[in-house]
Amino acid sequence: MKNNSAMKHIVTSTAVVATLSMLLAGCSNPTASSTDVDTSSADYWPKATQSLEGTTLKMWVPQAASKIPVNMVKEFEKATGAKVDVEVIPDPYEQNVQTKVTTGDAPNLALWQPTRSMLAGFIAQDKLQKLDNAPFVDNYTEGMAEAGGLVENTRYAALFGAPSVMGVFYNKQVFEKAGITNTPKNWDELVETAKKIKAANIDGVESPFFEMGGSQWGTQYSVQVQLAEAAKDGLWDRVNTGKEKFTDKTIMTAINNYKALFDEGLENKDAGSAKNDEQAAALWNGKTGMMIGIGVMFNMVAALANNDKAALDEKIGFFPISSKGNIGTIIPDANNGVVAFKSGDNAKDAAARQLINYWLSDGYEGFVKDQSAVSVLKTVDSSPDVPEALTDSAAAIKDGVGSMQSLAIGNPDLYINLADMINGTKTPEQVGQATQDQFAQLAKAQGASGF
Amino acid sequence: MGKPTSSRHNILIKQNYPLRFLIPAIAFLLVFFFIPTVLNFIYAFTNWSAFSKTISFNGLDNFITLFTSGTLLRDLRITLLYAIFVGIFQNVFGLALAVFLEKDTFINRLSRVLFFVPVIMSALAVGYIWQAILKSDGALNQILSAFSGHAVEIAWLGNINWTLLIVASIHGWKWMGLAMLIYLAGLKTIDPDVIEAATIDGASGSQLFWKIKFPLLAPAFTFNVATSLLGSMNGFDIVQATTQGGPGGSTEILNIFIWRTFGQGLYSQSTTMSLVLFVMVMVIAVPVIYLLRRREAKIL
Repeated sequence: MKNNSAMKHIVTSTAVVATLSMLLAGCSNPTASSTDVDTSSADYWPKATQSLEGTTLKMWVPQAASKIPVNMVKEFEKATGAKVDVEVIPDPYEQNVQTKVTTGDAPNLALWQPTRSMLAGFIAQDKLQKLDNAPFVDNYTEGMAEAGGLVENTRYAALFGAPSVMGVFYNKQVFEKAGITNTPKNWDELVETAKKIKAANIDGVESPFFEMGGSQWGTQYSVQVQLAEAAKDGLWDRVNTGKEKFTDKTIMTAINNYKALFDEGLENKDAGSAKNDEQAAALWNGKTGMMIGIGVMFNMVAALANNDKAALDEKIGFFPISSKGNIGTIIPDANNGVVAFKSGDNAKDAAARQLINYWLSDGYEGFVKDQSAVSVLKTVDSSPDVPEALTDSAAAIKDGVGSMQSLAIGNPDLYINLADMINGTKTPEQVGQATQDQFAQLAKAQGASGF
Repeated sequence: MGKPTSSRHNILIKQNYPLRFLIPAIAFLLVFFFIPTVLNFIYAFTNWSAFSKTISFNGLDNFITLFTSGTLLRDLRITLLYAIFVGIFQNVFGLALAVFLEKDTFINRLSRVLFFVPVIMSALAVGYIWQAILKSDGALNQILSAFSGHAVEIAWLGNINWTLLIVASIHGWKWMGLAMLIYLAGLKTIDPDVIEAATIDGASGSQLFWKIKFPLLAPAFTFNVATSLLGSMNGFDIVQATTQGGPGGSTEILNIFIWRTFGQGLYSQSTTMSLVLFVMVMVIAVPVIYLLRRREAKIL
């Protein structure tokens, strides 16, 4: 009995102490850091190959991109004597990294989607090093400096690869068999093209479009491409300030147009449950004519073709699409951008910046060759092994416009809501409402006015 | 050496097991359970997020936002359904196995080990294996196609009406070995005399089971029902590995939503949701366990 009450006493008093200390500490976010720097000072950007003997850096990479920096990092280690540990963080990368950083575990560098919405949290907590006045920025090809990494005119991420452009990847043989000679010039023509493919009743072609509602994430692109003109016209600025909503006409029209593709039987029958690997296979095998999406989805097709450029060029093409034209919607991802975290150790922070500088100067030619990639620098040519579809996609960056992720302050789960719509559990109106509700929560958490 | 009196006994206990022995356990409990729970209550009333450097109280704001958007209520309902299905599957599977494998033959012992394997497997691995079996071009459909002679393309994990049931049965399948073990232990404690007496009185097989064995399994039943219900309300891994909450959000149990919201950087909202989940688990656990214990007391 006595033991029991003694224990109760201990528990109660600890509870009181814990609660009080919480309340007292309740005014600062334990995950935030601070301090500011002068990015224009002469030594802010160390020379690419300056010695870093004895310095160890940690870099996080997603599973899907785990090989991307490996050889570049080896060359950097050789050139500087630094040691760089490349750690693969399991999927879902964004959630896991955010959780780790929130709980106080951060690397020196990480591959990261260089978009406003994905950088917002780290910036708000002052976790990231500023990358302004970087020596490589002047070397970026046209449009590349603005395509990612900038938030309120400050650079927080460096693009090392050409960002994806949302558009249509199509099977050239299916187009040919359906008698389509010109690629569509706007959304309405795209729908017409799809109807033509359906009407042609080609052997083996099961649907003009193929959607991956089971994997969910691919659903957003069909809607986002339709917003390109509006985005050029300031749509996301209005959404960011609460002046326009996902439930308003512009975005709802795009959602309804997407829904119409299903209603008219232009998408695959199992669109609600199909996964992205099935989508890639369908496009490669000519089971479908088109998929609306991004470079990562093409990479899966390329993997099926054993990355054989000739075979890919013969079969798969790309064109950007928007409501009224062929404007590409740019969406950089974690395969294109790198961020540097503040570590509290000035020497390490400088070393992290040095690695980025090396990557985009002395190390870039080797990197582009090693990765068979599109170059983002005027000073280095793209690899001749880049398939046409990706060259065409990169060419659309110049006149493209930012995506929701790039320009909106929050990245609501639009894709999940759209996947719900495909499966019939949400109406288009409910998709708009649910997305707006979540966006408002994110905007409010950031203290945006209008929410 | 007479028998120690009750007070002497207490003194001895105190000498041999002083209170300080509890300190390590209490410390662990405090740091890993108690403080997080208290923090969970506090953070639910703040605006903690990835987007601000400060944390301040915002009253019932999080609760109001969450309850006005339909997702929380939908997910609570799905979580509850999921828990009920898992409770049924896990107990039916486990009890059936225990009854079939009751005799200590070699085959039975081996089978018990085999049926226990899923319990010690990683839940994510279980989920991914079943996901591969059940996807539309997966093993199950291929087997069905081979037998039926035409292509079977049932989207087992793509139906908004009954995929929840399938995922719950996977959860039940994974844990049925544990339920089996507990029911087996229960069966072993039944006095053979009682069974013999019933047999002499002419009880049939089914009477023997339903009138004698099953009631005497009451403590095992209580434990199994309570742990399966409460365990599945806190489920996450199997659903994440099989459907990620889809199709159409029809298998989105609350923990998936909490995790998704946390990933968005809305920490206080996800904390609020875990508080709501905690309350729901308590509201269900207390009466369920109370009723089952009362049933035990009546029978035994």
